[in-house]
Amino acid sequence: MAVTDYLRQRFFPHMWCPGCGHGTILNSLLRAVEELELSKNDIVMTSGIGCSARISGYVDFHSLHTLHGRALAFATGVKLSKPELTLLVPMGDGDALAIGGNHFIHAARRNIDITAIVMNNRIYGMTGGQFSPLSGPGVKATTAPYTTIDANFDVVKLAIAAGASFVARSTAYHARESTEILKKAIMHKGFSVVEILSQCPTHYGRKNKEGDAVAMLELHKTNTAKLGSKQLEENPNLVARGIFIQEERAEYCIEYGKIVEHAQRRNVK
Amino acid sequence: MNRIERVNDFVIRFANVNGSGSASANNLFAQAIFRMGIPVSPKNIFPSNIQGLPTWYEVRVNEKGYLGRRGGYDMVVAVNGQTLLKDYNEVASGGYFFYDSTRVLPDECQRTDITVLGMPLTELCNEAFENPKLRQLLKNIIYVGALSHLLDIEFSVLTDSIQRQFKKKPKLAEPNIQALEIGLNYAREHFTDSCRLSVVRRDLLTDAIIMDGNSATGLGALYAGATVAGWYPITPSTSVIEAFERFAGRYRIEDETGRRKVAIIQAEDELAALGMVIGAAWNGARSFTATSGPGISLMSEFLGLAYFSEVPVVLIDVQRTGPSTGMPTRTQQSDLIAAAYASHGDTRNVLLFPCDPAECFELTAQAFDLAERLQTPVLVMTDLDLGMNDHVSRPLVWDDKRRYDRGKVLSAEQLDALETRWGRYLDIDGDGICYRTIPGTHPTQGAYFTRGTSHDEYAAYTEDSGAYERNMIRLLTKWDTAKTMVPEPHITIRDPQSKVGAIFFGTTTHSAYEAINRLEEEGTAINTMRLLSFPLTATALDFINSHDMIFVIEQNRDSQLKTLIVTDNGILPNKLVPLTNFDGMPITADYITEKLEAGLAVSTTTTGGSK
Ligand code: SF4
Repeated sequence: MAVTDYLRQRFFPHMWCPGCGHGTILNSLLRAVEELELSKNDIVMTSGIGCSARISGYVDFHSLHTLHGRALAFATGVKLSKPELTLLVPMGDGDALAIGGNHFIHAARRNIDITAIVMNNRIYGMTGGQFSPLSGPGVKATTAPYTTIDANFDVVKLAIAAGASFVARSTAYHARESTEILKKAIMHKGFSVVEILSQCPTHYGRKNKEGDAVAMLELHKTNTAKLGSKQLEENPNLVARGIFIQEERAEYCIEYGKIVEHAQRRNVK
Repeated sequence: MNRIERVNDFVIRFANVNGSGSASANNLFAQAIFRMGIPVSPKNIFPSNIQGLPTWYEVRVNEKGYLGRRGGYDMVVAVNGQTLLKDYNEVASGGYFFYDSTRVLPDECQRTDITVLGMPLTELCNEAFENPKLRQLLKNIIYVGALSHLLDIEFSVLTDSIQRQFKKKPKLAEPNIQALEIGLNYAREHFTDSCRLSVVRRDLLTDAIIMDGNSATGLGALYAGATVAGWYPITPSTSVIEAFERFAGRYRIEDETGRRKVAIIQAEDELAALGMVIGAAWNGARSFTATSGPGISLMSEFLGLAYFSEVPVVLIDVQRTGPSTGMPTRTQQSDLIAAAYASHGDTRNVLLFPCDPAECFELTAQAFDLAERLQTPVLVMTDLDLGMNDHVSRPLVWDDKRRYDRGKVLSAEQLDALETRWGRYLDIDGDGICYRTIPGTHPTQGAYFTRGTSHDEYAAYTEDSGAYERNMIRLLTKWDTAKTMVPEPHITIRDPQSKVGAIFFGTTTHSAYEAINRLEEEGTAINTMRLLSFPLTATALDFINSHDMIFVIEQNRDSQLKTLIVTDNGILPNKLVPLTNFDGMPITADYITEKLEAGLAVSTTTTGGSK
């Protein structure tokens, strides 16, 4: 199948601003799905609310556009009711880690076989540019006119600590790399978290004087470095990209199946 | 062809692309009419999107002062290719279609009953301006210039507005004024006697203001002395907090230190937001939150806690179209039941219904007094139309002698002077409202255990059925007390003999009055009651009891106000006739007129025509 076969073109033009990173991430994701030759019918995408969540409208999978922050709860139900499905959950930073933070850590703790994609542009785009739990200190936002004082979550560390068994990071600039990482994340049996740094030129870029989309993409390139690279070693202030953890660990649906079997064996006796 | 010919009485609709800078041009247009002293009401109909999707801006000009939506468009200014055909088809017969003729009109446009006014906006704009970013913005200003000719808007009013807007950056005023002139000159040259709609200065608005409801609400909270706001971003209520923040930065500065005395916390979700507000309120600070329908759902659990543990809370609900995510950028009055009975168990919350910016200001301020007097959540129910659109309104007034009503709060001296044991939930006065303390008031007395679990008069946990029931019944007594404290409805008796009435509230008010006035001119008198609160006061109940047939006009599917009236007061449902609009657009006077006429016709045929 061609990449375009996975798109719901009747919903175009999409709603993202020119230069928004979310479209690029959609592209990376579709290529991953295509290269894995997954059948559309076996994929379920659930999403919450926000600019990023609109992604579920543009893919021709079974998709659920649900509540702000709660997409992982729906995904858990879908997965448990039919574990052979592939679950993709794209989330924004506010969606995933502010209102949805609880669901995020608990999905990770269960290590349920779902791929969570955190499209991190460090701002609430849809409601006009408020800071998010991933903005970090020193950022300008409508709700932080004198810059933020809130510390940010490190998605990678949080996901690892909470129990996710596959955790990675890339950026909208590194579209090819994102595709490769997403392929591994989707194939991984367990809760996978892929943080992809995205750019919101409309709000974040404008308020923080990071320039237009091109300049912001440039920052994805200059501010990050591959895990294990010399560059990162020399400059630990750079944000690391790559796969941080990839472990075989008990997956929730499989464990659930085992416990069902166990209980039934006892009943037979 | 019959061309629509009207002075100071028409509706014009602009069709634009979201995020293309049209908002400021359209705003300039509406402001100019306001400055010429003619009542005007702009309504922004925008998508849930940041940039690129269609958006409309409707402006009603009406010197009689009818500022609800009327229905129909006398003129359409079409600058969005995506919706051109739809916009073309929506022009009223005899009306005017103004479009950017840089591109030719599609072949389907063959109407002979409208006047088509083409102007090559893009071409003119690109000829005059180099900067691509400016071009996009100025294209919109050019059509405003053209409209000033077509509709006889005083040109100097427009240029004054521009100069005022760019007072600090006069360099930016220049191209804007140039764009206005380009539009004016082109229209003068090409459109002579093409348009029979016009505006004539009236100076009717001597002391009126024009502002959006959310700003007035934010200012109301500030005047009410709110010092803590906990909130979470959600359309269409975000700008309430933004306004509060803005005004606090200007007016809540301590003289001696220059410090800003306010704390605004962006929470991790709505639940946390209301939790923070309850915490601050418990601690004695006037605090509030602003949200919309989905937030009300999330906050319900906390509202129940505030109701049962009796912590004063003010919540602004800028209603949007539900259920669930619904239409986040469309308006509705559909949170009434959810708000009135928010939370599980037997709960009842006080609701206030402002209808214009002045009332947003006043009722928000009053909500803080009521919440503290009644020690309960008070919800100010506005909506997207009121909150986000500009409305002409009487000025906001504040009496500097006014003092906050903090309700029954015991001071250290009062605690010392108590002769009997103090009970946090002990009803001394018989009005259901007990005395509370603010933490830290007294070094040894007045501390109590605030709890959402069942409690006796002394705030001790109890599973005793009698104590539980006494408490619940006392809360009902308090509800009855609330009925004597909430604002009275506005009642207009047009004919004391008439047994037909109408009830409405909030943004439905303006179109409802217009429709009912139209009927009155034709000889049908309908008495009206505009509600400002739930629960209903005794006066409100009298109105209902003295009419046989009452239309309940509201903007939701299920006649939620009717349900509240029936369930809370034991009114017979049959006499309340629902008149609802729930398409997400502000209700129109045309629609209400039509439904009232139909409703009255049915009643005369079934009752044998008695009037
Ligand atoms: S507001 Fe920001 S995140 Fe939302 S679509 Fe625009 S650029 Fe993207």
